[in-house]
Amino acid sequence: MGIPAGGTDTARIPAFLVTDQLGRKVTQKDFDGKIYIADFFFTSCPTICPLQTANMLTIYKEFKGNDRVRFISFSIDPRHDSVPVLKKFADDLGVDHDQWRLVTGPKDKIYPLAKAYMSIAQEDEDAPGGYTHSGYLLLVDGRRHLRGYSDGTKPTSVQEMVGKIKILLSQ
Amino acid sequence: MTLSKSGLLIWIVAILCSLIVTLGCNTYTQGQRIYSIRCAGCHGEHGEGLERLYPPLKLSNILTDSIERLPCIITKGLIGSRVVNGITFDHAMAPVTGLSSIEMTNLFNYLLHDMFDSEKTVTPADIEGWLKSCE
Repeated sequence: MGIPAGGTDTARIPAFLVTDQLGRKVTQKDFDGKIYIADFFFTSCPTICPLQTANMLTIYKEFKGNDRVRFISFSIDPRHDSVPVLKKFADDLGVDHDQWRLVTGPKDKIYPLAKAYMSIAQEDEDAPGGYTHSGYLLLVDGRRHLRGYSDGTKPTSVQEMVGKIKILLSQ
Repeated sequence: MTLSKSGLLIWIVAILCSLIVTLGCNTYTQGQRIYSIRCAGCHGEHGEGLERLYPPLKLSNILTDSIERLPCIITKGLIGSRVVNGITFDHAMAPVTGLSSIEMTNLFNYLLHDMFDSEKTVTPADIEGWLKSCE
């Protein structure tokens, strides 16, 4: 199966410091030794994020309660997506606040981070909701290496990712 | 080469059948396409909704109780809590802009037919009338 090798250390996801839906500080260390899925979204996004979230939820349900699998959704709209807004979103989504962190942070930290995840996140007045971003779900291994991505808007692609996570878990 | 009578009959039946199927499908094609592009992202490909974030449309009481409010909700968006099928939703809905009254008519008839299994249909005049009541 096509999982790329881990890559070099320079290809590692850089360290980050953000705040989650319960107001807790979250860093890359919280994911050490865990396989995790990351995405970039905003709660008021009218276009692709809801699909992305729905597909992320499908993966979450598959690995719910598995201590080796985590989820992180980086909001790219710090102006609107405050801690209470993220908390409400997580509650309405019905997810565990420890296994799936929805996080916010300053734009000048989040946007470069999106690049490290090979994603795009930027403000764009002409885009629906005011932001342009890619709908990718990114798969990262316990050593901070990007191991795969899927088009978060396509259910078939999501099933492939479930398969990849299972392979990583078995390694 | 000549076709036998029974061969010809089979061809005629086949052509008629495919015509009926095609016409039958086309009735809701535009509505389905609009739904898929403009609505399904949040409400789900089959109107199932998403947890307590995005309300379902399939068998949703909004299609029976207050269909006349829907054109305004679609074009203006919705803020504040509302109860759909007994569950409270309060995530804001963004406006869906740029739909003509004919496109909205096709969308509504697709929703009524596919999501509610209803015989009811709406007309562009219904939609235009309902749109006048928007704030």
